[in-house]
Amino acid sequence: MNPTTQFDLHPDAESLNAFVEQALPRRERARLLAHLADCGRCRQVVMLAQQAAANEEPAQVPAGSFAVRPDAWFRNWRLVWVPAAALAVVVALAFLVHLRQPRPGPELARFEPRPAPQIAANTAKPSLPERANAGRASSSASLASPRLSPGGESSVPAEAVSRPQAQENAAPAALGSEADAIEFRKTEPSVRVPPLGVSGASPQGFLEPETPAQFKPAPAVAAWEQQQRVESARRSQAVAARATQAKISDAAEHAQISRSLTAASPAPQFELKSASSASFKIAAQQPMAGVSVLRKAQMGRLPSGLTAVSSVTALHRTLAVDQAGTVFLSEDSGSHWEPIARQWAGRAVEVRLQQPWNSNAALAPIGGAAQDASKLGAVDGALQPAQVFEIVNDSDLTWVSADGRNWKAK
Amino acid sequence: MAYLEGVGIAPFQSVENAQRASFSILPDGIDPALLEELWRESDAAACGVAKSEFDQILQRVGTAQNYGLAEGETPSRRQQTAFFRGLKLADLVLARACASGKEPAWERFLALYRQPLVRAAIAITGGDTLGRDLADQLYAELFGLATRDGERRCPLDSYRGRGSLMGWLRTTLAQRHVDHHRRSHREQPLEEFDAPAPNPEPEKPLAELTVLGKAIEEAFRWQDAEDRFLLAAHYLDGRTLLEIGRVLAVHEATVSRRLRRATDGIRKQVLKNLQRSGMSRRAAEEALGTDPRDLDLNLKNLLQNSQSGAFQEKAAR
Repeated sequence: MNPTTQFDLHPDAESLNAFVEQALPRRERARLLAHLADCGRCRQVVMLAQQAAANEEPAQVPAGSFAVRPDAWFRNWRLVWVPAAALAVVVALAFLVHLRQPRPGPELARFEPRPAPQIAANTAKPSLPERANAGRASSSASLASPRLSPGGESSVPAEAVSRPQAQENAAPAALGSEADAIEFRKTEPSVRVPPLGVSGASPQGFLEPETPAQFKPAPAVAAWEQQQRVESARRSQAVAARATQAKISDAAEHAQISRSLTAASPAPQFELKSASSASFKIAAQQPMAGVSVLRKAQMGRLPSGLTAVSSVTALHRTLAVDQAGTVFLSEDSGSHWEPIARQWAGRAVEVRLQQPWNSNAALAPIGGAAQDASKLGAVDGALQPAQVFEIVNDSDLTWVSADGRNWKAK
Repeated sequence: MAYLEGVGIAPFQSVENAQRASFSILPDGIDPALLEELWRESDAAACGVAKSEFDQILQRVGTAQNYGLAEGETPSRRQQTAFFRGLKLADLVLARACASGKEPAWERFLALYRQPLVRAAIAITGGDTLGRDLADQLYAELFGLATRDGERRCPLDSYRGRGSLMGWLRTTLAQRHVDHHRRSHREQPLEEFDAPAPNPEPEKPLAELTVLGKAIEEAFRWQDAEDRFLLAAHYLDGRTLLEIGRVLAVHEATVSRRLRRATDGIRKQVLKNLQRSGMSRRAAEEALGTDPRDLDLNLKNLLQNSQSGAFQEKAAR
């Protein structure tokens, strides 16, 4: 073979190989392509070289083939920047909009909207001095908001007003009174409590967002912190003096009240968080008529990780249904939950008590209510109106249960 | 030759000759830091190439191709760097070291390319014996056994690093094989040559056929270079869509579409030419239904003729 055959007429191996490997500049490639269209010998060389390369490396893509493809609509990657930049702008805007969305403030507590039964003003003995002062005030006094005396004394007769109002007034009054901790203490068992299941008296449950009365103590925090500073010195003496006696009496009363509260209504304990992340702990151990205090921290998130959409409490049992329709039962007022096996059709959307309200039971003393509750609870299978749970599914069908575990269609 | 004029460099022009050409050379040479970096990246020391030799190789290759720029342009430092980074420097250094007869380079070359070269030769020739013969002949060339004017001549000197060295070897093998085949194909024994008997009475072509032939010639004349390449490779050489697609680095479906577009374009152009020559639309379409055997047309010549015209026109721009 003569290696110099027609070398003067055809592109050399360097150019042909660069053409095969797509490594030629556009201009030179066009010229070589034109030559290939004319020259059968060079076409054959190119095809054989390509065939040998394909046999050698079948899966190999020629290097740079993408970059110099002459007829690709995207001649280079510069065009890719246009949609990429647009996408980046959209993502950035979405992120900014997301950041600027007003976040919901710290939700502190919600109260049941239903009116409370009348409570004797002198039946409750607040543990705090202002409570004591308020307790001596006239029961006819009704104030829309707490009034603070310059000396820090609250003149609001919190217990003299109706319970929702008293609760609204008393809560901020108590805020900051004891190192950012608020305790509504039930010291006397003579408080008239609603009948069993009163916390679920609202069919919607106390987690429903349409609950009108909403406790928002955050604005009052600053004021009460000032008051706290002024009266702390004076109050500390009185508190210290009464501490021993109060603890003894409170302990005894607390035990008794807790029993009655467990029978009468949930005694949720929840934590309130202000915007400044200060933690307010409210021990709602006092069952307040017409007011259901919920365990926000515990009820807000059920073991399924979802938010409870409806819950109800009777005796020591609390039932809640989450967003997925799973029903959970708690025997210890929300500390521990266990899922209830589905015995109903469809998706549970609401839990409630069968008997919405019994005025006679509501006015009954708590001790009697507790006794009734224990009595009713002992009757297994007898669906007593005051403690029978109901589950409503998404088809508006109802199932009932006395213990929250065994359900039957209503 | 037209191709060579268009590209601006002789196909087998040695780098030394190209350096003597009128390409611009950067007066201050290659940046030392870049030179050091490229020298390390190319592993030139393993081939026995010193840094000064490496510098000379780069300068020769760069000036031979004017750093990838058009003739007469002066390359900037950035263009120079981009050009060097676009080269396959390891292959280039190995080829130049082999061409200069460095033993470490040859050892490396044999270790890297001995078996692949034989496999490529077998794939090209389609036979084991022919393939090994072809590979051995190429080795003899590469070792520089051939001399011209008393000087040892090595084809590796013509490698300029734009493609891979293995690709260059394959293409060189293909060139040798095709040239050998074409040359030996023409060397037919006389006793086997059977000259075709001339037609006793060549029929005069009808006027319509003459018009049709001219219309087709005119249509082929203005075809795009790539369309002509597709038509020639597919219809003349009988290459498959896959083979053509591999060469052009496009999918075979793309080749099919382009072929259809090219044939449709030719058909429309022929119809236009026929109508321009006085035929009605209907008559032109009927003329397209003529049996091709009745036409005295050589498509190969048509493509080559039209190609030459088109290329010269582009080259003149």
